[in-house]
Amino acid sequence: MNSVSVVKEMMMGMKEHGKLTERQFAGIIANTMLGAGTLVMPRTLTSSAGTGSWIAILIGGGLSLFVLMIIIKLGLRFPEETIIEYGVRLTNKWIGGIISFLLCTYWLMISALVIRIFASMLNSTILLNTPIEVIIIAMLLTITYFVRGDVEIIGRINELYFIFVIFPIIYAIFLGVKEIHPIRLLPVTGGQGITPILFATISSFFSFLGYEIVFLLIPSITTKKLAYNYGIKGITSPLFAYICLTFISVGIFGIEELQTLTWPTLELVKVTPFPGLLFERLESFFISFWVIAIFTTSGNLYYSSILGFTQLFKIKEHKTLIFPLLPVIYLLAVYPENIYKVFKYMNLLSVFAAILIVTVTFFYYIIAIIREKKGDEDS
Amino acid sequence: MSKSTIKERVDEIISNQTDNPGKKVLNKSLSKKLQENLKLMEDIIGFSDDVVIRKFQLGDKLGIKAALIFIDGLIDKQVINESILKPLLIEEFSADEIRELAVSDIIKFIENNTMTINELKVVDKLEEVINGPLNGDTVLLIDGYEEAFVLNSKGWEMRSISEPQSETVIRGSRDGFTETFRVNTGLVRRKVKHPALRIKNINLGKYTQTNIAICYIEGLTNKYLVEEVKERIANIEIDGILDSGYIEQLIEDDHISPFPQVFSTERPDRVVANLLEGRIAIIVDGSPFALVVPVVFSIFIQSSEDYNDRFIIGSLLRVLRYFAMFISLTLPAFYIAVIAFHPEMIPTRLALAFAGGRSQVPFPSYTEAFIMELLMELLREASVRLPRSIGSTIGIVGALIVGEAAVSASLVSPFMVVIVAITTIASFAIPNYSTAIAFRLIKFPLMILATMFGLYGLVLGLIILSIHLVGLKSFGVPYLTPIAPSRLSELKDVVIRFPFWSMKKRPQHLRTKNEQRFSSKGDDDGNERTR
Repeated sequence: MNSVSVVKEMMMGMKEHGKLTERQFAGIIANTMLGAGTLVMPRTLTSSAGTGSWIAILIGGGLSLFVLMIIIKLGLRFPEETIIEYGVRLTNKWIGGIISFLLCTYWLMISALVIRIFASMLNSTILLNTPIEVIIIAMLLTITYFVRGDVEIIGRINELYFIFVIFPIIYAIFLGVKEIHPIRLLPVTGGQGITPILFATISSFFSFLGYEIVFLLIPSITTKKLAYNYGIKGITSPLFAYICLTFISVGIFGIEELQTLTWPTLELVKVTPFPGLLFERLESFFISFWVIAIFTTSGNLYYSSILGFTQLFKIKEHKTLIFPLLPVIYLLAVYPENIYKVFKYMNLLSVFAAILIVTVTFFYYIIAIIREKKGDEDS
Repeated sequence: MSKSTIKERVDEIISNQTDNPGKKVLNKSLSKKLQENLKLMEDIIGFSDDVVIRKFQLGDKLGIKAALIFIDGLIDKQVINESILKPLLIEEFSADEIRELAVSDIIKFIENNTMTINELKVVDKLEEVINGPLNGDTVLLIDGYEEAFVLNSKGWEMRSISEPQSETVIRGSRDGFTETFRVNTGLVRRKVKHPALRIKNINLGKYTQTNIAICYIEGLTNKYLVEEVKERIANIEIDGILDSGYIEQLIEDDHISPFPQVFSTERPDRVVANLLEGRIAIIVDGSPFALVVPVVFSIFIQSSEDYNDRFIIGSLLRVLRYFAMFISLTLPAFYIAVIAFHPEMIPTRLALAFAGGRSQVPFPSYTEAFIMELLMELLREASVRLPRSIGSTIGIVGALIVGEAAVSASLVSPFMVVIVAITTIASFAIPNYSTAIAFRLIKFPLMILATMFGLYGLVLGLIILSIHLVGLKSFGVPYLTPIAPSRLSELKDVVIRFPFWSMKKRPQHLRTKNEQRFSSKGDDDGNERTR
């Protein structure tokens, strides 16, 4: 309807149409990072550095923040373009195209694997009789409905869900604190020297991925100069959640026991009784809340992938790609035979992605500085 | 357009009765001869029996013929007898000196000196002459003159102002809108004694010619918004508007959504409160429900009482209502999910009680839930349609006998009856009927999802629901403002109603021209923007 758009422009002064507010931008970063990783992260992060892992997480988090800042800095040089567009301008059609293709494929695969991890968990905990394929399809259909919308819908949903994503984590942290056995947190530095901590730092850096979808978001932000500010806000809440969760998991279970738990964060909820008598065991409740975190992570990544491919192949509307990519993401999600294969692929993929993202960020940034390229600030 | 239909009818009649089509244009004005005018009127109105044509002579000696035309049932007989006929027949044209004055310019004389009528128009277009009686006015035609008088004699039986049926409050004004257009606009005007209140009329409906008023406060409401509302209403082409619901459905943004995107209220105080926030009200003749646009979701969970009581009480009640909203939406689905998929969530003793209650029931929990929920909807619908005296009987029969009998016949478990009762009570706590009914509707898909996937399905359903809500718009305003897109300063009036002194600004999403709405003297941070 024509008249609707008129009112939108007039009332909103073109400010919010097809745009993200800064708060939505931060919400997208946080929600994309907080996903399936949180469920397994206390186990994976502590495997090499033991009780010293918190140092590794802190350093890994700092590195991630640094990379995010560079990504935003690079993005702000081309305020009206995404990485797909300026990548081609900075290099050439082929190099830029291949990098963009790899990036979008990675998003698509991660999106599928996140759904798969969660579906496996549902299948082994609360939906024992439901086939894993059906769980995946239900989630995929919901996500399809989600990505139909414009970026403003994506932003609003992320903004709305941030509280629901962070709530179960805070819940687990608060109720977990009193169950900690302080002795299990010792020695604070891990007691094995610096090498395992460095290894753990790298692996924590891998598991913090998700913020790289900022590559695509910069052109949509309303107030560009607030991007740094809200980028930091967006990345700190997941980092804080990771540190707290790891700390508490180690304190409750101890390093050795933690390595044997497939879903440590879930076990955390199991050992903490719910105050009051209305409900007894809350893991079903917790998992249900976690659906939202999985949904935002996977949905945001799927949306990024679609948006990236749309720009890469110069398709007019991103909606065109939703249905062609649906079978692809489904097949990617059901491909791994079991959950250990999923974790294996996930690890491989994050190593690959971390290398890709760091390289691409610095590569593009250096080229942009050397060739002094900038986007049109006015347009 | 609506006005043209009367013109069309006039044209049609005229072209039928005259052989010469060239005369058509000329005849659109009145003729000088009373007989011709009357003939024309009779032709156009078509000799309806409720149309009264009263022929008489001005004064007793003047000998000028005249006629009154009005429609019985729309006029106040007292006014016609006392204020129109009496001066024309007896008082004014009897004295000789006046008669001389009168004859020189009878139109001016009648207009200025004769009628004791509050609203009088001199017209010469046939269309206006026809429109008069149809709206309850009386038309005076005088032989030898091309002008006619349209005299306000409106007066018909109407319902008096009474307490709103659908939005009762304990503390707050008791007056509600009625079916009469002018009474309704008057109720709004009585609460806003400021010249900036604008009430603009539009006639809509090809046959019903319904009066519609667009009310807003000039200098406060966003002017583009006013234009948009006017345009959307003016674009409506329909043969009849019988209720404001017609307008609502024709101007809303998303026609498929179950959620109301236009707020309808029976309460003048709520209309005024919304006008003062920078919204626009639409009042429709024949409907006791005024419309308010643009709206956000939180309006539907508010009640005017939230503001009339102190903020702690108001906030508490509002939190309770959000809770009720959530219960009415999810409780049956949650019950199904827990019983069928996650029985470990319930404490052991409660689980045993559940199992004991369900042991005699032959159906799975979801069948049970669907049966009871459908039965409840049936009862509700039945009690609305029945005459009031029988309606309460249905309530008793339904709630007590059917529930009790179903339990003792082992059709449903007692817990299911409790769940359904709580859900129903919760849905009554939602102040807006359209919203409550939307939640009642969405409850069923959620129950189906819970049947299929347990809590996972329920959460997926809620996600889909929120994606839908986030994408909805009412006149360009996102439906979930100020939650998503978030506006921290406006969140003060969503779940918690903050005290007045902390809500200094009007809602920003309405882009009002004058943002300040509350200021206290000696207040330092009066202009601070919380954003």
